[in-house]
Amino acid sequence: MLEAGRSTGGGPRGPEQPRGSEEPTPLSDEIRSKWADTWYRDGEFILKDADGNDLVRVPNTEANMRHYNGGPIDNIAATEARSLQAINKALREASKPEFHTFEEWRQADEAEQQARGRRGPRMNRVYSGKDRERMQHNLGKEIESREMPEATLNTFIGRIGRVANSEDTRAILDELKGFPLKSAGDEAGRVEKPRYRLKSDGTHELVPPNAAELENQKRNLRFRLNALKGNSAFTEAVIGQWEESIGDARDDRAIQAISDGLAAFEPKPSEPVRRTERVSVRDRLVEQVRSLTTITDAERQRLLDRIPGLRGFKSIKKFRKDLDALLDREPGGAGILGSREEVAGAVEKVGDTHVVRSGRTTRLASLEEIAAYEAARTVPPGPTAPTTPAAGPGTGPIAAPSAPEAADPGAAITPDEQERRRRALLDRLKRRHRGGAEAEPAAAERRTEARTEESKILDPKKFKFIRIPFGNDVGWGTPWEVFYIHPDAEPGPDGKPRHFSVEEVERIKSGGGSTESPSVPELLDTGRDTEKKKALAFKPENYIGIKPKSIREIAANPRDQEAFGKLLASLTDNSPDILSRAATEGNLTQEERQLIRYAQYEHAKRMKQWEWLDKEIGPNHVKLSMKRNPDIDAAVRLNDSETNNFDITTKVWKNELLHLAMTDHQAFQRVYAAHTELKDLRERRSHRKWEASVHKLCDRVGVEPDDYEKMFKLDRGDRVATRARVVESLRGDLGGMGRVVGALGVTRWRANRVMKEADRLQRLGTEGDRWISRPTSWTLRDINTHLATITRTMAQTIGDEEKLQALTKAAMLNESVRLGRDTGPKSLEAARAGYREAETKTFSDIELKKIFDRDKAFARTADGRGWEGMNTAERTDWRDNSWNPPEARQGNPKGGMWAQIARRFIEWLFGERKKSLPVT
Amino acid sequence: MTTLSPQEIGAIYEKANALMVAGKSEDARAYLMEQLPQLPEDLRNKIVVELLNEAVQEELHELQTIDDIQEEGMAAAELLEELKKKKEKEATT
Repeated sequence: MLEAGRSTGGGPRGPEQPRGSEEPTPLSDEIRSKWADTWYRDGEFILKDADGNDLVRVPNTEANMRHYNGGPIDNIAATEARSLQAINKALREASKPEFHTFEEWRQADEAEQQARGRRGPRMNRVYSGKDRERMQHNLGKEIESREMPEATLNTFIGRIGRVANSEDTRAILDELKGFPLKSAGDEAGRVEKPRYRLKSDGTHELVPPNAAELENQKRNLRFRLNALKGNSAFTEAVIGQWEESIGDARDDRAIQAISDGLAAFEPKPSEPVRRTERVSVRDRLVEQVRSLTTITDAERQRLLDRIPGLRGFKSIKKFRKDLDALLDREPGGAGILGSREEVAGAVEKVGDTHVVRSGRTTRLASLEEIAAYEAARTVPPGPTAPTTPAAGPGTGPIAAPSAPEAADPGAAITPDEQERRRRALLDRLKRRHRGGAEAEPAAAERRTEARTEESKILDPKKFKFIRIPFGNDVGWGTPWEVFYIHPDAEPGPDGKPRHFSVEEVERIKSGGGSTESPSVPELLDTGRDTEKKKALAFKPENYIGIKPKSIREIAANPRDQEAFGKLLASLTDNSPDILSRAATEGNLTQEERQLIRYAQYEHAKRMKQWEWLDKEIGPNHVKLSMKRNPDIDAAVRLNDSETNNFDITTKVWKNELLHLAMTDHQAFQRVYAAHTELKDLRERRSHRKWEASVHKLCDRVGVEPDDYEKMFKLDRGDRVATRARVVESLRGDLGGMGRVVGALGVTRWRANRVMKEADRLQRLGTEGDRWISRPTSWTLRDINTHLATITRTMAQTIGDEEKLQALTKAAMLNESVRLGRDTGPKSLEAARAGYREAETKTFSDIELKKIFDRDKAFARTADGRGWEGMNTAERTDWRDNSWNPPEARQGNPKGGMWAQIARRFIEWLFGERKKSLPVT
Repeated sequence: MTTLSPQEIGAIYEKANALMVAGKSEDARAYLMEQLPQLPEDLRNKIVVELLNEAVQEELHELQTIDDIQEEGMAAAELLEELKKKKEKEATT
């Protein structure tokens, strides 16, 4: 009957418009218990059992439609019925067979999908990498919200780590329902609904929350973008790009990417907006043109007309060059507004950096120039700001009359002098970077005074906590802006109440009175304290999917052993004692046990991240540095080459990263995040498009794409100098017979091609379509930012590999030593004195043998055998690679590159000496 | 290339160290660069890393400065745009 019912009639198969009735037709308990499916025919719903037999017919009323159509699950029946109506409508329009029930359609649809091979079973979705991580995170939150014994908790953690598909997830969730919630209102414990959906091609995409929510997020982004309009980097064109991106955003990922991009430009609550002194540039150009006396009015007007057409730094630079040529023709050129000073080299402050512009070029200012500039700024604090030229002579950018190099503007700077200035500047920057107070005592003093004053004025009790939402929580970032305000505090530069960060307020409340960012040492200490706090509040449920290694496993692997020792040493000064007791199953306090467990989990987690980096990082990092710095290029090439793809140096970099992972978590996280972001950015369409264009251009010209910056970011105003640089660069890439061939004319031929392209780019640059020659797009800028983060972190930490190495080994050998940064010399002089002492500190063979005999008692193989159980090869390996007695260790000098090189020498020499010790 | 004995390497270190202690860091650098090819590979690698570190740090600061300069360039472009609008407004009024 039912089959006949299905095939009868040519009209719509779905239920007709229901007739009005408020209550559904009542069913007996027996029928309700047997009811498994519902069919519709001739204006009635037919309720059937599991075998397909009719149970009862009910009329097509609205209430019956809600309750009985589709199947015996009341809460989905109505939804499915509506869906079925829509599906059938579409099928009718497509002249395809219709379905009587939603379930029937669902099964047919699933069968069709499986037949196409596009996806697995509908209800058991296999997770991709990110889905899996997200689901594990959600499950972790769920178990965190439930009361259960620790052993059960650990079992769940292990199972969550193995979750691979939705069936696993459901099984775990079902079991978790048997455990009570820690508190009824625990919002944090709830599992977030997955926001991914399966696409027809088998991949996943983020599901936008809904149109209204998405629009709300976009509105927030536009609001934040508007707030950035005062930022000099946000020109009209740039803002247009941002607005376009916001308009195009279709999912959470895009929204988050834009939000992160904006956040990079937004000021921190505690720091004022840095505004470039903008008036100076406009006035300078216009005033300089107006001040010309050797040109006609028409020429002057032409110049003035060019000014509005200038776009970007390079076109302005070209304009300035033309202007300089005209200024040079002026009688008594020194009287022309700012021109002579600029030719001589006038100091300007760009952000925090002092530069010297000399018309055609811009270079970093020397220490003397900076000192003179600052002195000139502070002595006459009048309205004549350095970048605000007035209408009279000599009031242009303030030069450095007392500086030696400014005394003779025409004198050429010798290479030695240039090098000296470069070194001086770097020293200053390093000092400033490493410790603000040490580098700039006067400024530090002023800051301290200001802090003290402010802490005296501001009553800690009057701080008011503010929490402002600036977006919806989509599981990606902080949706609240959190800060304090104080009624007695000076308003910010924009006239609004000054914002204080939580850390600042805590510091003020504790009597520190600081409203500045902490110095580098403070940050390190804070980081360490934070780590320790985290360790003591350790929760295994925060490490879903992380499988920690046991102490024995760690000890069996030299790399893990060293890494773990470093990690533990970064958590506590007492690591040698704790480790030895942990290894011998001695008594550990609850706190120590927690510390060890935290270290085990953290070790596994950081190793996992480092292993990802290990795969991602290639020789390109080394190459990039080499391309930009001839010194390092020469140094690396001594040992490494293109032939082995810079394997040695790349490996060394990776080892340094591992060290960083264990010793400075914050720094490592920055590097890790920068790498993950970089990977994402480089896969974006805009970057791929730019990169493809660069490759195409470089292929056409016959240069390496890596050399693009070097070849085409040239001073286009000076073709002779540009050509000389191109030729020099091309020759530098040649070797062997290439040099001979190059000398015969090949180099010249290639240089011609490069110059032709450079000219073409220049023409494009003036005609509007110059996207390939743009210095940055926001994607490129982000990439540069992330690269700088990686570079900066590496630069700060690479020399510190040995900082904790001695401590690590000491920890494993049950010796008590303090951290190197606490015991090492604090100045270059102290470091040098330390080396002089170390140099004279030589052991007699007898003494060395005695130390060796003492330490070898602690030697262990991976499987736990002692010295007696080792064979000769193992003993030799331990002596040469593991043994590092405290008597031979150096401190932790902070004397820069030379101190580190000296340390390398001493270590190597000691390593050679060790080899004379017998192991049998 | 001849292999240096530990004593000879010790002598290289002592000379470089003496120059460094005397404050002649440039001479020490030049001397070390001159001797670098002769040093054993493992020691040489470590020294190269130190040089790399130094170079990276320099590069970083240069990059920051270039960024700053470019930022000012963008600001200039923006202001010139304003100037253009102002002039156009003046021309129309």
